[in-house]
Amino acid sequence: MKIKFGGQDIILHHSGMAFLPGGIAIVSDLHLEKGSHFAGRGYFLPPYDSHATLVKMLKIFHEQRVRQVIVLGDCFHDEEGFSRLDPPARELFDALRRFDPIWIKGNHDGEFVPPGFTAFDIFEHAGITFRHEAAPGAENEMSGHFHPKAQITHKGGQFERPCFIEDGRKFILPAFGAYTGGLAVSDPAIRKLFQSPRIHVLGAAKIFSLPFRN
Amino acid sequence: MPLKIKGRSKRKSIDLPLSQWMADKGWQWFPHQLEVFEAAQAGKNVLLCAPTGAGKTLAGFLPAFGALLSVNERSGLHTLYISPLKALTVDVHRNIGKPIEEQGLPITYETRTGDTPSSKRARQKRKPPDMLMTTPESLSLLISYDNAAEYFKSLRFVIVDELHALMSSKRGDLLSLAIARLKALAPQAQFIGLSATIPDPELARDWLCGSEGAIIQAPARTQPNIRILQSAKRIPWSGHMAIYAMEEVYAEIAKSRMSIVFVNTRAQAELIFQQLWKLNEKDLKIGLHHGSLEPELRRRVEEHMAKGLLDCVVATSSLDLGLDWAEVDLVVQIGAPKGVSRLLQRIGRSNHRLNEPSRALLVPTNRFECIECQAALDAIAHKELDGTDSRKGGFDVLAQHIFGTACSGPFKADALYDEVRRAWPYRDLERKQFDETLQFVIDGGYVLKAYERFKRLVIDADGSYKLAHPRLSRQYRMNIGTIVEAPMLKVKRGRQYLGVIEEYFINHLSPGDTFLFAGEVMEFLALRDATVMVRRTKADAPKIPSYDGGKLPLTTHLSLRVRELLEKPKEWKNLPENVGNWLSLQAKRSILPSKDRLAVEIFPRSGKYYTIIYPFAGRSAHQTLGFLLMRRMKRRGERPLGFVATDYAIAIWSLKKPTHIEGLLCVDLLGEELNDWLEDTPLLKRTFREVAVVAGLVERRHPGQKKTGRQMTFSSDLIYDVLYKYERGHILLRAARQDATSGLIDTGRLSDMLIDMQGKIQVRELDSVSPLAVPMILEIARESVSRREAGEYYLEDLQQQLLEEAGCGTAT
Repeated sequence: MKIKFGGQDIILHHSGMAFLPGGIAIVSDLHLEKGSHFAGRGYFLPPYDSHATLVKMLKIFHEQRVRQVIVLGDCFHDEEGFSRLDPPARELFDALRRFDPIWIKGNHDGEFVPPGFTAFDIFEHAGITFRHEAAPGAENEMSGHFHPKAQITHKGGQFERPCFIEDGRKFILPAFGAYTGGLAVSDPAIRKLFQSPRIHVLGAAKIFSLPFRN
Repeated sequence: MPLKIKGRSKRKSIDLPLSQWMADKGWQWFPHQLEVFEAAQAGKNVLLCAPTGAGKTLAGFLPAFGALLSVNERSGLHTLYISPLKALTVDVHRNIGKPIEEQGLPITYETRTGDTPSSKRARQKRKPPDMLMTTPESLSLLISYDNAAEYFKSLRFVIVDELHALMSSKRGDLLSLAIARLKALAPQAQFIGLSATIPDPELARDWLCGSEGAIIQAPARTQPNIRILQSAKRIPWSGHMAIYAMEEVYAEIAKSRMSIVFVNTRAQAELIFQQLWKLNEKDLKIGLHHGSLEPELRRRVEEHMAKGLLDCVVATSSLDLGLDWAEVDLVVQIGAPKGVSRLLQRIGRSNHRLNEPSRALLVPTNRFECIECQAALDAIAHKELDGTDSRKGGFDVLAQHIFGTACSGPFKADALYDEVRRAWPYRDLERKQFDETLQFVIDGGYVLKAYERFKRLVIDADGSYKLAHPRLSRQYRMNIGTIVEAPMLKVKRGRQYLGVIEEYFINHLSPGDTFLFAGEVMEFLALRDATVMVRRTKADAPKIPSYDGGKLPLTTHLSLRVRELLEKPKEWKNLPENVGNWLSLQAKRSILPSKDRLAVEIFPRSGKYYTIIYPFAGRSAHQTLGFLLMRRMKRRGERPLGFVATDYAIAIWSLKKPTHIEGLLCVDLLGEELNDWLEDTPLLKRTFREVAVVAGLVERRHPGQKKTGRQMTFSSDLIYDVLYKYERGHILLRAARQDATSGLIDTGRLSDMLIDMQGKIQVRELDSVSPLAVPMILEIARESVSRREAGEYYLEDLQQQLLEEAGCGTAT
């Protein structure tokens, strides 16, 4: 599905990725090695999350003929995440370099930058500002950080889905990582950033655009 | 000091403790109390089965009193009492304290539960009382301390109360493992089990102490006096709230000295409490008691009841077990009892004395429940009870126990395996399964990739497993227990805590919305620091919290009774008139289900075909059957849209008329389709969520706990997806499947039912809805194929609706 944002045609993909013209993919909050992060604290989550996330991402890059990727921060769940990648996952991660990656620093992976990547706090392209966490007041800005999800009640059914949220000024992407939960779009932390937002909910094979309801 | 007295039965005189106290009270021993004492004196383990009000608890403690009072020197914990409810430990503490205080006996006795302050716990750890009253979870904690061997060294008696309620659950698994541990730490300890009257006491005895133990049965109570409310009002087709009967229920309450109104769910409790207060022109003192209320509020209600300060209490199963309220003279059961044993247990709360009949009133909330209530009465008249389910011990509980064992000190795998197999639910545990569970505790047990550097247990030079770091014992203690609830938030009015409520319910409220809680209408103000802030309001039409809990399945035995009743029109005269007429009309218009006939009806309605199947096999089995039928109908091109399952029947609606019903309900549904289907079902994810918490895969969330940073909790569904993709055979997935097929999905019962129904299927095609099908059409708790697909369906539908509102027609 296509929307206009910052004067650009932006394609929203049901995986939670967005595409700019020219084969540029935008993806946020991969939280790689979240599983092993918790293993270090004594909770043995299945150690395959990085692998699952990267395989899914590269598959979409291939299908959508992506040329460049902008990662909007929190690529790793913590600063040591990169060093914990196992060889197969490391190989997949290294394949990202073929996509001329723009690495935006997140709060989780902090100052860490993987070898061969160029890191930015803020990156600008085609009149749009890319950063990890939305800055109140900034316009034409795309960010991640909050993992927005929609809570939907309809005809007695209740369910939650990750979603994009935007109001023409600001745009927040859902989290892409295999283990990433979400924060309700009605939470004040998200809600206060927007004037009259629209949400674009990730379906199994397409995006559903809905008006925002508190 | 022990006195020589004669029991009521003709038996030789024995030394009995507390006899002076009994005599002072003008009370006499029951024969079964003496038998327990004698059997224990002879060194036996004992199971006592007795109805409520038969002095069960005192009987259980008698041998301990005898032993404690006959020695001068003693040290360490002597007697351990375990009950499933915190409230019950408090109650037993009070009751056992009476003879001790009044006789000035040199016995110390204390409770220890999750509510015990840490200073008191620390003291109990250093200097244990003679008698300790506790819960299964607190016992697991006690055996995980590094001083456990010393602590339990001198233990002489272990009393397990309400054994029937604990046995066939995960809590029972946990307790059985703790008991196996106690047997190793204190080989001299004797076990005394206390249980309601159950049809298969041998099973309970074997569970607790093996086949050597003695079984003592108290005589049954006088037949209870139970009526079904003969309402002058029309009984509703469907619904579960019994609003129609409230005036009549109020009149009954007003006539009684003290009554308990039992309901099946917390939502019913809130609503009925409010309805009764609306009618309360006589200013009766009516209280409310359910599991979501703040413990302090609950305790106050219990205390007021014990002192006789209340006229009536509206309660859920939070009051089901053993608490002693002698003054109650009427029990009202709102809604169908779902099982005969549960009904008797609840009814036993009134006239809590062995030789007086209990008085009870059943209030069905809809027509099907009328039939069920009558069937339950028939079963009680014939002295029939529901059997106990036996279950295989869960791997998730075993994982928790292994971790706890490591917290108490190093262990050898061989020795622990032998010990675990002495716990009844794990008696058939294979070594391979044990090893895989142990490996999960060590490093997660993943085959494809190991968390080598994060191991929780390491091997010593002598081959013992021990904790890799002492701080891990904190992790164990924070996550103990087998009860996993939906995420809860605390509810606060001003500075006062009122209780907890399901987070998902609050998520769908906006400030200004009103809902019923703690018996009052509350206005939702804000969510502040993971606390729900509310204020009292006078507003009408509040929302009712839709609690998950309390949906009890109909027992097999009772469902058989229901079908028997349906095939005997002569017995319908006992049913309310409009219900009897309803069944007669059904017999005329269509067919009635019976023991030898599985009735199926098909009729068109608003562009769809409804297929109604009446197996009377309980909601879990029906729900599974519904999912399987949807799947098969989809494959046959009959385009099913959804279904609804109740305890009595299943209704499926489809775009095309289903043909060849016998083929649809063929036994191979289970073999061929169940396994495929199971892997992709929301039910399996639901059981996995519980398994993940119990096994310690994810951190347990405590009510109102503040999330650290942004969303540190996980969706266990996401973990399930990854694990399923990479390691389908993982021990926790197997644990989830085991839980799903025995609990939520109830395949055992489903397969019995499918086999039983072959050759008995009778299909009736109708022009329109039949009388019996009306409640099914009105039922609202509907399921579609899977949550993912359901969500997709709702999204499509919602978007369509919005487009139509905007005048855009059918574009997508």
